[in-house]
Amino acid sequence: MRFPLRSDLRRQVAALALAVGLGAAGAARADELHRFALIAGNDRGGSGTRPLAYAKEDARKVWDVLTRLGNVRAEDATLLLDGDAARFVTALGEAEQRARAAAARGEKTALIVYYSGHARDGALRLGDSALPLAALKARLAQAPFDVRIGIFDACQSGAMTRTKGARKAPAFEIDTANQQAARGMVLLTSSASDEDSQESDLIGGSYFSHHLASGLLGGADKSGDGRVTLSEAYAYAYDRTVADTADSAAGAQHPTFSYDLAGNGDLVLTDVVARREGLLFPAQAPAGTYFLVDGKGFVAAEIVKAPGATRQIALAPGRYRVKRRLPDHLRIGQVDVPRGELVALSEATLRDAPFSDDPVKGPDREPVSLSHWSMAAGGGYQSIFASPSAGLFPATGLAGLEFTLRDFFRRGWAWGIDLAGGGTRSSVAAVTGTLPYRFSELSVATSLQAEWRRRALGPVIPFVGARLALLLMTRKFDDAVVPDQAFATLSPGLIAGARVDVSDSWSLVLRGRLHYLLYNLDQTNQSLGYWEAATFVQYDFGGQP
Amino acid sequence: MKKHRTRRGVRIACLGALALVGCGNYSNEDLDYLSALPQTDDLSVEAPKMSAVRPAQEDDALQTTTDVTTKLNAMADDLLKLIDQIRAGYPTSRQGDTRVWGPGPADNNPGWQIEFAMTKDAAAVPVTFGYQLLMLPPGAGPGGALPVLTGTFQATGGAHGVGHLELTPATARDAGAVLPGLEKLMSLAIDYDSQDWPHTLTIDATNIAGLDPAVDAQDAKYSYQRAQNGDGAMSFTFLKDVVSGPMGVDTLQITSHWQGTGAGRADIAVTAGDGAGLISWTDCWAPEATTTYNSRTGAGDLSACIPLL
Repeated sequence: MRFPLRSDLRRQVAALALAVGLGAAGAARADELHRFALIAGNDRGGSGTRPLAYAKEDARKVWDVLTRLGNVRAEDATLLLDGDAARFVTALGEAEQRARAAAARGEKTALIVYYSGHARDGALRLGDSALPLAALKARLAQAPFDVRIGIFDACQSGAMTRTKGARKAPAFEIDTANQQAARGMVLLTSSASDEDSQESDLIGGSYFSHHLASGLLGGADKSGDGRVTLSEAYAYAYDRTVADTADSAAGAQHPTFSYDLAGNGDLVLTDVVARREGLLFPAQAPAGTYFLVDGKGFVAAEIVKAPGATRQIALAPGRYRVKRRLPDHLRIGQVDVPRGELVALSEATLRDAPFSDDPVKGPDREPVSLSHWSMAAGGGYQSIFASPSAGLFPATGLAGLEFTLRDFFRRGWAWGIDLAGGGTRSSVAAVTGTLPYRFSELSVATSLQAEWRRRALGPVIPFVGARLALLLMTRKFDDAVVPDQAFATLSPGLIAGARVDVSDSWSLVLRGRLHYLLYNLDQTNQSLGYWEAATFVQYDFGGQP
Repeated sequence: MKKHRTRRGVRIACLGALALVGCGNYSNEDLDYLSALPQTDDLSVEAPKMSAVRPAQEDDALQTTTDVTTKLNAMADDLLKLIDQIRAGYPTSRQGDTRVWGPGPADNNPGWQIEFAMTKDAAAVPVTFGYQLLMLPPGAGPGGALPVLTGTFQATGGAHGVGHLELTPATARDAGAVLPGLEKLMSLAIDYDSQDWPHTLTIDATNIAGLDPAVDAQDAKYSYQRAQNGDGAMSFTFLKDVVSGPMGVDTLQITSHWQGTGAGRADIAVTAGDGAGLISWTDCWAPEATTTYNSRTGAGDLSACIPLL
């Protein structure tokens, strides 16, 4: 089991790392292996467990690092979020199949399996399903890859490493004298077999995965060669995890490893210099621990900068806030990392700030929701702009039903399908006189919305998004001589509104839409538009509001 | 004739249309064209009102009048069915002030195509429409199209407007087209005016030569008008042997008037046959359809007749 921990208990402890003197010559090059990755994150562990908040985030983070920097092609990397054990095993089988094909082509292969989530009673708990650790370990041992690396961030995951080669130690020694191609298996776990693994709201992830990812971004490049090896990453993650959890209520968390590699021992996991993209800490930058906070308030990397050392951190393009903590105040600033550029951090761009301005918001950051469905029902009003439609389509009331999947693709994103129908009476002027008719409209649409959950806004959650609707508009004339008419078209539009949570599950939604409608039946095409205003009552299934 | 595009076709087309452009027949402009085609009220004759229980001795002139209205309405129904098939679809081509339905295959005529075209003169006062139904023989180019139905309509307002249409099946028939029900017809011209009361309808039918005069008249003219209060009048020719002689059936010119109550009169003259120019009489009937006066037999009283409308 892994459980959330508020990280105000975080303490610095003495670094336990042993120097791992690896030269570049002793590390296998990142591009020598055809790499495959199976990255899984599951916030739910079934009965008897509390949902985690960041397991999927951890998985996404590791997936991003490996595909950007780890020489794992996107098509060779499977990201499995909230998947069950069967899907995990299936994905593993698919990777094995592709590895056999690669081996048949004469390629050397490597597999990196990463899991973040619950584990209990000797099994990974993927939702309501279980995957026994022993069976998984045996499967990995037999997997047709030259190198197999298993990284398990779960409570008591150290059970994976209790057998041969298992050690709860800050780092492992690599036989750099062996120049043969590496073969074998390495297992890393976030905690020992009798320890819980912890996650933190402050950093927005589990301690182990957070520090592992930070290390892989370049923070662990102790040798300074621009490449992060397996042992460097482990040592970095070990040191930081132990330090951060030493005084926690759950007790210190000690990552473990099981090393069974033959041949050219250490492996380069990431190459942080090849892309020449990210943030460079020059040698003259002050020493200390730097926090690089992304636009959502999450700590993208936590870097320990040694005096006189240069560190290159392969951050993804974006805007980051930088924090360095001093005894009585902070040094904070902002840096933009453009795509394809390596930006040097200048101490001059940082300013002094009180602790209250800490950009690492921790619990004050927007809460992480679990992906879930919601359903809403309500009604609204639609009106096509009078000009230039000239009364072609009358304004009408609409009743609707919406089904929305929230926080699945990304936190704060909502993908929905909605159905609506309505009608009204109207009339149209023809050369022979006025023709009364009954107008009806049906629509089915899909939308993608971004929601902003901010504590400052209380229960109000504003959102904007885009929508694509398939409209079917018909009219039936009172004069039976005139045939029924129909028009069907796709209509793109924009959405804006706000959701007001009235309880954990119930919300009131106020929403406006602005749509484009191309009318192309008559000789001259007309670009029309319409607006909608609606009120809905929404029920969330199982998510956190 | 087969419908070029049906409402079902609209639905199917729409279901298949997942492109960003729309599909269907939802058009205000089309409504003008569809409204310009003749409607039931334009072409039908409202027969004298009669009680549900008809008397054993129904007035002879009333019976003749209602029989003729039934025959005319049946003909109008056939024509309207043809027009409604066009109206039920939507144009396959919309260009400027022209709408075209088809061409599409013609029922009962393998290899033949059929096309309906309408034009609109929006600058005219009142707005005027023209339309034409063409049949294209197998292998014929656009120049080989044979007009079967032509018409015009003036959107004068009122209940509908003023229209004229002509059915000319002879040319297509001579080219080999099979036109059920129109085998004997040479031409049929219809004028209707529903702009103001009374509404009027005139029909001039000419049959092909060589028909049995005892059964089919060479020419038949019908003139009908209807007042807003239900009064009606119709003049028509009718074949009946009223004067025995060597010429057989006589041709009667009948002018019937009736009121909304059902009471009416018919002024009848023999215009051809053995009694041509010799005999005319007046026949009146009550709302109950019984004869109230017949000047030929001397029954009843002229004062029981309704006045001429």
